[in-house]
Order: sequence, then structure tokens, then C-alpha cells
Amino acid sequence: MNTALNYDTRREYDLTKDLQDLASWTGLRPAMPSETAREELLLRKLGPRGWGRVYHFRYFYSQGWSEDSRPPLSPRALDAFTRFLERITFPSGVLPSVFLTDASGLELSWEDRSGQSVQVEFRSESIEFYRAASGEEGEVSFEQLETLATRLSA
Amino acid sequence: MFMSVPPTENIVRAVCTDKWDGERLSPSLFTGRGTSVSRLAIVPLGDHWEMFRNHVERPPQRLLERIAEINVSTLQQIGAAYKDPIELTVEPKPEDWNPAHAEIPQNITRGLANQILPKLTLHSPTT
Amino acid sequence: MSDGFPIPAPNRLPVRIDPCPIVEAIFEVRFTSKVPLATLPGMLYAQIREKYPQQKQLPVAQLPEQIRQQDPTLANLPLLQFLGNDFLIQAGPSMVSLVTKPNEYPGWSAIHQELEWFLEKLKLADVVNETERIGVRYIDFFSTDVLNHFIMGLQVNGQPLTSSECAMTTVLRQGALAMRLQITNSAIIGTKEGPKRGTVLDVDSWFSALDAKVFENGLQRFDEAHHTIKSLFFGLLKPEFLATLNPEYK
Repeated sequence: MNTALNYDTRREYDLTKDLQDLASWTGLRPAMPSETAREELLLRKLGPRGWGRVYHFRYFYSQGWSEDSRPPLSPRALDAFTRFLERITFPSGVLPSVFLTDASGLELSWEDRSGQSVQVEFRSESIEFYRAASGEEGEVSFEQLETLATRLSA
Repeated sequence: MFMSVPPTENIVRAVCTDKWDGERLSPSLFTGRGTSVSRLAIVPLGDHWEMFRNHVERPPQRLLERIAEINVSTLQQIGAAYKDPIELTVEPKPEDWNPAHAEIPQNITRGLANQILPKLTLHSPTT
Repeated sequence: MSDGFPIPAPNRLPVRIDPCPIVEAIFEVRFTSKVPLATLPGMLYAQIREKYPQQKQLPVAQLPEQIRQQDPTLANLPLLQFLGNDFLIQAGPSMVSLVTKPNEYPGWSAIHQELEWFLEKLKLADVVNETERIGVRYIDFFSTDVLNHFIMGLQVNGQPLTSSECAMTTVLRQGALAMRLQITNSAIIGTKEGPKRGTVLDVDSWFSALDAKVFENGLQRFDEAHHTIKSLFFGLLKPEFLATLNPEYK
């Protein structure tokens, strides 16, 4: 698991020598402010593969990541995705898949208790969802995120 | 002006790392309008690997993972049988990098894309 | 401040204290860019050059772009500085910031005015695709160890931990605003008179993507963050210590 330090390389001030963190030499570094909670959430809800894919999409899929030069991952989509993960409960033993969409959003896909597909796509301005069990599909605003998570939870 | 691709043909779509995680395929591969596909009748499957790699890959992050294939007639039957029936067509649109390039101009909803996915044949890389 | 926030806001906030401990204030926008990352600084400079004519490349610009982009600790660092009379503007591949000159804090009124102008120019540059974060950071320096004059400190077994060298960092939340608060009594800061050792209070705050759209509520968010940091700062000071800073009220 990467715990990259939000290393303040801007150096407006230095700490005295004894207070300086030499951990960078050992590769163990504290996480960015408020990133700890997000990283722990991603790992817990998505598993190592899902966590790794989100990390990849965030830092390796930069501008022009596709053949038609799409913009990087939407920060709003990522935020909405994270807030949704805080609230959703997946069926026991199910780890969802994470995809990067051509609209530079994030898509979650998993199966409900009956083994049928549930999908949620996070865009920069809205959320789209689909439930195979009922054939229901629709679009909601970010304000309805919590309600959607409750509806789709196991 | 090109005629629509006949239903007897098979078409393929590149599946990159962002749309395949080793277990599931992203339905967003087919959602929306103007989905890009390629015709096996013009360029054989084997030749598609290198052609797609040259065009869609952005190593090391974005790699070509699979090629998804479907018959045009199958695709059209799925559209016709969908709860909101839609006539799906495949329109040739040759490009410099791919003379076999074509598009599905109609809007494919997520629900419809979920009907398409199980009918895809996923090919793994040969090299 | 709202109930539940651990640092109480004073009933009234001074408009000025003397000596002013503010070393630097940074007002930053992070975003996804509409334009290739290499051209962004140039497009911004075209809009601001009359007021910020001088350019300076920063050390991190020496690193290859791919390495910078893929390292979270480097991706948001500025590559260029543009120098004006009263402020600096910094720009990187996916960020811009307005920065007060070291130890020359001009007051909030002047900053607000400059921010308004700056956001206008940023909009004209047409480089912002989507706002990722709006941030405000204030760094204060006291030339002596004033840790005991704050209401926040370290304790061991209920007893204050007094140490010659101490650093504390915590993240707090006030509504949509997140704040990283860092206090150390062993910081070294560069000044015109040479390096000085003392106490630093560093508050870095931000609104994340869902709570910030730079051209819709950017100025308002900067306002809110400034006010919250100011409340936090004065809330941290014990009253008897504040009295030694000659506070002026409206």
C-alpha cells in the first residue's frame, strides 16, 4: 500500500534537525492529510485490486490518456465516488470492479445477493446507476448520493 | 456514401486496462453514441492486435487487454428485443489508421449495453 | 464556530495585531487542465504579465514531467513564479496560487481585491477544466517558544509535555472545509536578517472538488477559509498572550 507523504517541499520553514522525519529514507512515510481515511476506505471496500486501479487512474492516467486525448479523472467524480463508498454496503464477500469511463469518470460494478449486476457511474455533474434485477436505470444528482447508496446497499 | 455494415459481418472493439480488471468488463465500453468498432471482414482479427496497440495504448498505464467481438446480426437482435426497442446499425467510417473502422451511431443506454456484454466473445492477446 | 469544533472561536476577532506573525499566505486553486500541461503557464502569463512581468523557474521544474505527474507529492507543486509588486503568482501543470510576499502581509482587504482580479484573469486564460480543490494556507512565526501560550498542547498522563523540541499535526473539519493544523516550537525560518528559530503555526485548509467551483464560488470559498483560519488562530491563543500582541478591534 502506498503511503506517499504530502512532503512539503515548498520549504517555507524547516524543522530543527532532531524533529525532521528521516522516514523517507526507509520508504515509510505518513499519508497526505485526510488521505489516510480515503486510502483505508478504498482498500476496505474495493480490495487491493480496486484500490490499485483507483490509484492508477488518479496518478497515471494523466491528460490525453486515450487515443482521443481525454482529460484526466474528474476530481468531482472521484469525490462523489469516495463519498458513495463511505455509505454503500456490498454483499458479503463481494469486491466490486472499478473502471475509468471515457467521460473521465469512475464506474463501479458488482453483483447483488441474487448474483445480478449493479453498476454506478460517477460523472463530473451526476451519477448514473443500473440494476439488472429490476432493469432499473437512472441518473441522480450528487445531493441524492446518500439515498442511492442506501437503495443499492446489500 | 457507405451502406451500413451487413448483418453477416462480425465487428470488434478494443478493451483496454481502464475497461477490464481481469474479472469484469465495463458496460461503459458500449454506452453512449458513436461507439467505435472495427470490421473483421476488412482487417482480420490477428492484424487488429498490433493496429489497436499502436492506436489506443499509452504504456505503461493503458494497455490493450482484450478484443471484444460480436456479430452485427446478434447486436441488432439485442437492440430489437430490448424493452425500449432500438434499431442498431453499424456504419463504416474508415480512418487513416484503420480502414476497417466503423461506428454504431445510435445511443446505447446502460441497460442495453448490459444485454450486449454477455454476447461478446473476448479474445486474449496472441503475443 | 459550530458546536463540536474543538477550538472555540473568540467573541470578537482583532483586525490587526502587532507584531504581525504572518510569514506567508497562499491562496491556491488545483484543477484539471483544458490545455496541454506544458502550455498552461504561458497561457496564464499572457493574462497577468502587465502586473506580474517577471518570471522565475522553480527547482522542481527540473524534474521530468512524467516523474512529476506520477508522484503525488510532486504533482501539485508549482513550476514557475511570477513576481509582482505586492504578491507572487505561482503556476504548475494543474495549479495556480496567489502568494503574499514573505513577511509583508498586506491585509485581507488587499488580498481579496487581488484575488478577484486574479480569478478574472484565470477565467480569461481559459485553462481550467474542472476544479479539484480550493485551498488557503497561512503560516505564522513567533521568534520565541510560545507553545505554552496556545490552548492546544501535548499531554502525558494528564500532565503537559514540555519539551524543547515539539511538533504537532492534526486534521480538523469545519463543515466542508478541511484543515491541517501544524504547530512546532522548533522551526527555522529564513528572514532578511538570516535564519531564525522559533514557533510556527501552519494552517493549510481546503475545499474539495464537490464543494468548490472556482468561477462560481471561488472567491466566496477563499473568504470562508480566511475567516475560519482567522477564528482558529485567535481561538488557539490564550487571552493573556493575545493581550501582548496589541490587538486592535474595529
